[in-house]
Amino acid sequence: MSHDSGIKISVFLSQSSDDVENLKSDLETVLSRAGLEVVTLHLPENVNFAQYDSHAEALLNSTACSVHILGTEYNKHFPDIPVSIAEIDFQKALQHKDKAEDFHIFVWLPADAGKKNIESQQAGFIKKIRNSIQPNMIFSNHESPVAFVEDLRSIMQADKPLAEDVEKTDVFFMYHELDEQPAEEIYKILKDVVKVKFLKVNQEVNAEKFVIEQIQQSKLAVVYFEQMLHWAMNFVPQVWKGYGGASATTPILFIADASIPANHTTLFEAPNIIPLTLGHEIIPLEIKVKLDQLLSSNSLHHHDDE
Amino acid sequence: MSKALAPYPGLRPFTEEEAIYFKGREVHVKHIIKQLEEKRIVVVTGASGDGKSSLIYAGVIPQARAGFFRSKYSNWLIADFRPERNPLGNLAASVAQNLQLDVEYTHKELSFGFASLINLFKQSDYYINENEPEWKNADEKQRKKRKLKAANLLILADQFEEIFTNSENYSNGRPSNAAYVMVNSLLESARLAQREGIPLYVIITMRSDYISQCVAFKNLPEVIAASNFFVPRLKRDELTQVIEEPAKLAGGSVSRRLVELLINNLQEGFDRLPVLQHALNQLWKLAGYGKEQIDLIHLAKLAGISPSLLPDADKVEFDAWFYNLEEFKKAYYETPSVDNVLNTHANILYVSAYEYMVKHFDWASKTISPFESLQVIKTAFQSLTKIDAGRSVRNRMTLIEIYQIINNPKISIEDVGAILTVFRLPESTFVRPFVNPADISTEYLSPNATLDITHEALIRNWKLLQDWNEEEENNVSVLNDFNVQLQRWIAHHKSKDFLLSLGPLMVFGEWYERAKPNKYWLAKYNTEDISFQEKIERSELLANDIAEFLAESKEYLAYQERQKKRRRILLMASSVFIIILLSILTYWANLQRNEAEQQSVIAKEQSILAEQEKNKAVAANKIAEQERQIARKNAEDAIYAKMLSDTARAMAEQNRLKAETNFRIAQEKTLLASQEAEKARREKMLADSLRVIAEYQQKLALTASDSASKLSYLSLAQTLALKSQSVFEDNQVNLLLALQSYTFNKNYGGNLSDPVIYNALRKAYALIATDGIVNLTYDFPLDALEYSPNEYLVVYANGFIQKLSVKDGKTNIISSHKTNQLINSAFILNAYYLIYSAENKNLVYFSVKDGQKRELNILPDYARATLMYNNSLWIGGRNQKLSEFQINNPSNSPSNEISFGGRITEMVFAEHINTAFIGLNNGELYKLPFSSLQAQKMATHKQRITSMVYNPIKKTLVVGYSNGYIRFFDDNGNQISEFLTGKNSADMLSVNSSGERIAIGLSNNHVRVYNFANMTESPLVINDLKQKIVQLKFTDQDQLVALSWDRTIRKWNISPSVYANLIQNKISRNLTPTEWNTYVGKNIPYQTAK
Repeated sequence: MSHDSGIKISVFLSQSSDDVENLKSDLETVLSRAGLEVVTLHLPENVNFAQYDSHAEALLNSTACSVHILGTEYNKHFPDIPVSIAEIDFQKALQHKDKAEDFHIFVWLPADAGKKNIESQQAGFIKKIRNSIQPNMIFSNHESPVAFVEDLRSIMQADKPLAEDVEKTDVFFMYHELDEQPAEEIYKILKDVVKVKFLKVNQEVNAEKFVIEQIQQSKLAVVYFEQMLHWAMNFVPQVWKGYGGASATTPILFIADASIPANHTTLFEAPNIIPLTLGHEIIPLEIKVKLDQLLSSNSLHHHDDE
Repeated sequence: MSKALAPYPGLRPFTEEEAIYFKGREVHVKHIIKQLEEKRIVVVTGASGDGKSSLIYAGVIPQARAGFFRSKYSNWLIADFRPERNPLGNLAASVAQNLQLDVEYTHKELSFGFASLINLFKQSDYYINENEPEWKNADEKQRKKRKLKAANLLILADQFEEIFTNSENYSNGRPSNAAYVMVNSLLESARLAQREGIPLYVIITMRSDYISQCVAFKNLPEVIAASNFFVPRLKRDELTQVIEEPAKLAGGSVSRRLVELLINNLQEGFDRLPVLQHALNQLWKLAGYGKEQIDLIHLAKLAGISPSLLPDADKVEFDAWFYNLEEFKKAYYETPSVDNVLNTHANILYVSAYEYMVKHFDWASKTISPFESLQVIKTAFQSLTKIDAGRSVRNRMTLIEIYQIINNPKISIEDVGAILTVFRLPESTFVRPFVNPADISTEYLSPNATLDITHEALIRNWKLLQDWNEEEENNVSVLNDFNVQLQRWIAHHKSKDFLLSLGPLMVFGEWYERAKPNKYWLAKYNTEDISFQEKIERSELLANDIAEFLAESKEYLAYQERQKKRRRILLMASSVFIIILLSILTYWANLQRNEAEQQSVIAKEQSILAEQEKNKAVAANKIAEQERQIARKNAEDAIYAKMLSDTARAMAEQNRLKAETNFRIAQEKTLLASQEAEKARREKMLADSLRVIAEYQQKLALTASDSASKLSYLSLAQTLALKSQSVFEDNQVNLLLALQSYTFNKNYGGNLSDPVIYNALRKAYALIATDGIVNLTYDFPLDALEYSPNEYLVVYANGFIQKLSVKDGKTNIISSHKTNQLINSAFILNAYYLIYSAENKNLVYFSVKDGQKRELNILPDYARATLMYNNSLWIGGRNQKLSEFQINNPSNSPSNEISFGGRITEMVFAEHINTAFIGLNNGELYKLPFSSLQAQKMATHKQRITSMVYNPIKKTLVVGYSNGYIRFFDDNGNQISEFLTGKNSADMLSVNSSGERIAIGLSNNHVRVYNFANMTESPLVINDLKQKIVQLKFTDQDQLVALSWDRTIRKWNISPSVYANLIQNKISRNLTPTEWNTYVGKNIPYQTAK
């Protein structure tokens, strides 16, 4: 989801209890002035639950996020429905979030409201939300609607990685420019047996974003060095951090060329990092073996899943 | 990655090693790198606690080393330093170490400023001069070798504000030469590097509140204007990354609800990041170093959130944990907040420091008492902070300096070091140098070890330290006032005229006792531009002067007091002497006068001689007069002396009054303090009350939550009850669903007589059991039914009478009697006797037992209601009369007769008041006490009375009407209430043996069973009968028996629990999980019925 294209972010402003009606009106204005498109349902007279339900659902489908103001009152709206209209909206937003991956829910309990006496049913509702916050759900207690909207806009406009020259591959092979010669030898052998993409890191180009995105699109990442121990020892942790660390899915094979005595040292160790010190000749083979093991293990897991 | 590496560093900044966990600041790092690439220098400014150092050490430097900073070479030299008290020296040491140069040589070179630093770099092996022939002539291999060695140089002046906070560097608005040269070197190096394309970069980090002081350095303001990076406040999504990402990278996780709570609860302003990082560090440990997801309960255990905000299950766990918590810690949980985590942690360390020392350090002498250990910590932290322009800031100090300020010969320096160790442990890191767990020797502090508070966030968030600093600030303020007086005294050659008077002496004397200012403490606040050693020397002189000034002032005041006393005594003695002398002179003058008189007499006699003597007397008189004048003057002196004495007394009195005033002020302060204490107590009471209210509200919330859960289960019970009445292939499903609906209804507090559940159970049971129905064999119209346990007496309209027994669901005919054709109603007296109207128009009194009958010659068509009383048969009917017939002495003529204004339709008897109640077809209702046989009208309603029953337990008459009304009357005949059953006539009424339930048979063939005490409750409704109800009656076993024109006798239990038990015995299996999911619901935990 990108919101940088000038297209307005559409916000579903949920129904709320009567005591925050003025605040809701202010928030609607602030959201508009912040360049956001506000979608809210002004309840016609005599609307019944079924009509409301379908209308609200349609509106939610057209928005990128929803905003729910929590007041001190519960305020049931439909006589035959035991929950408040605000809670109905919130539940609908939750259901919508399950379907729409990038959908965000912003809950705002204004700091003032939090200090007042809250109706017990509403307090239960607030507690329920507070204790069940999920990813892409924000629970804010700013005093000012402006501060709240600043947060909202900043989160909804957060830069998402843009695709660069990134493509799916089996092996992503990285080395420093000063190790070009031995690295090229490995690459030449490797490219005949696996699908491989390489990157020669030098001081001229800042390739961090590309490195991270390309690793995510690769089955196995390889960082190789011969002379550039110092560089590699700094490069790998930064990359590891950038692409997700222990929670990432692509392992990094961190290979030191054993031909240099100084390389017989402890390399960076972390989940998803496989440090190896290998003789130059067996490095391509080892990469292939590791890739095969990985593919076989993945296939086993897929099989298990089935 | 070190296994011991925590993803959150706590109060200290991130190190380069911890860069892998430094998240949420990527955009800032990129901005700084971009600025460096373009301008070669960046001044990173920001508020205290904004993470400037972390941004460079864990952000910029690792990115540079990883190759994500475009520069000339692949390697990086990082020459970082802090100005401290020796800015040029520290810069030189760091540059020398990185370029592998001699320190003294480097220092000397750098002292020339300008291009000195860049020249040193250019001359080193780390720089390649591509214009040199050596490079130009080198082959590829040689060049690669040079390139592998070459490195970019990054100069980092961290915490640049130390230039301004140390008087050695900056005093009275002027920088020291060393500071000036250091700044010049940095600025010039950056300028030349940019101009010549040399890979040298400069980063300065500084607190933004010192920017204005930078004008003291030429060009620095301009550089700041052009190359400043002001560290932005973290946005919400960046804060989210700061919290969530490190745990994820380390294989753990933080719950979303905790993330939101932490962000919402962080105070605005200073210290957001260090306070947050400290809390996260503690949370990570508490959650088993990533084994558990970090959640609200962990924060609650750190006093960071009120337990009332915890989910119910967590609250239970917390309460159990809190119960076992050491008592002294519990107080810290009274004001939970994210900020309080740091405060609580520091307090706990403060209290437990002594115990830690005793347990862990054999090398400590431990001569210190627990109380003294607290004093040591207080003084140490006061020493490690100082007041700078009204702000409390960090103040680095060596252990020995702290020890000297403590100045207690009983305490050893080892003990001071040992006591402070808890604040240096890896799990606290409040004070540097930190203890390295891998090196036990780091626990021990050498006397010259420099201690430093890790972050000023501790100063601002540890409330105890704030109090100590306030006290320290007060001491410094008094010192400054005192010093003014002291210097004036010294400037006047220590003249007595400039010693302290009594009031100031008392104030400063009290301060001296309290602050005990020794030379080390005084040196801390010496702002002169001199070396530390000089400061110590001067402070020693100052300390001596202070002591001397106070002692001299005290001594001089004592001397003045003594002098005053002596003068008073002298004056008194002089006065006494003068008075005595005056008296003597007066006496002598009198003697002289007497003598003169005598001489005058003699003079008369001897005139010449007398004249001579007279002259003598006059002369003597003159002398006497002179003496008197002297005496008077002396007396005046005495009075003056007395005035002086009085003045002294007045002054003393004033002083006394002043003392009294002070005493009163003290008393008032005490009173105020006690009022404050009282106020605090009240506030605590209020807080307690609020807590109680909060707890109550929480309970209410819980109750509401329980209610919601109950309601949903009750609703489910209703649904299941209805589902159970559907048609299933296997009627076991009907039974199981009905039983489950009963179970839910019962377990979740539903109405135990709920009609829907009741019908579900009853109908389900009817599917498999027939023991509630007797099908009558004769196809004759029915007229009456009598019931006794296991026996029925059935009267058919054709005069046929059957006695049936029902056992194990089977019906057997016990006896049959054929009587005359009935032409009207039969009235059952009991199981053995009945009355009926025979076809011969006589009324027949018939014994079922022996088949004997006795005919009474009465027109039968008027018989409608009967009553047996004292062997009399009372019969009422269409003739509008109630007639008495004697059973034992039968006669066709009634022995008694009472007339009414309408046909008698119903009659019941209330035994305890010996009274019959009689209902008429015109709606009139009478009571007839048999004692008087005087009928009294009770009520008139215009509808026909169709049924009556008397409830002997409730002592209430119930009357049913043709329009569906039921009315209730007391024994006095007063109507208590009325109830409308609907539009159908209430044809039958029956009350059970306990008087609690009343059954109504309606003209639409329905039977309803109500709670007698509350007719508004939903009744049980039985609609099994297909035709008119002939008879409806409760058995003694609370079963309801009905006879219907559909030729069935039906018997019903009126309690759902009875049916539930019956069904329980009849079910042969449980619902399968699939059936459960289909009929009950996937979200409802599976239960078995059997």
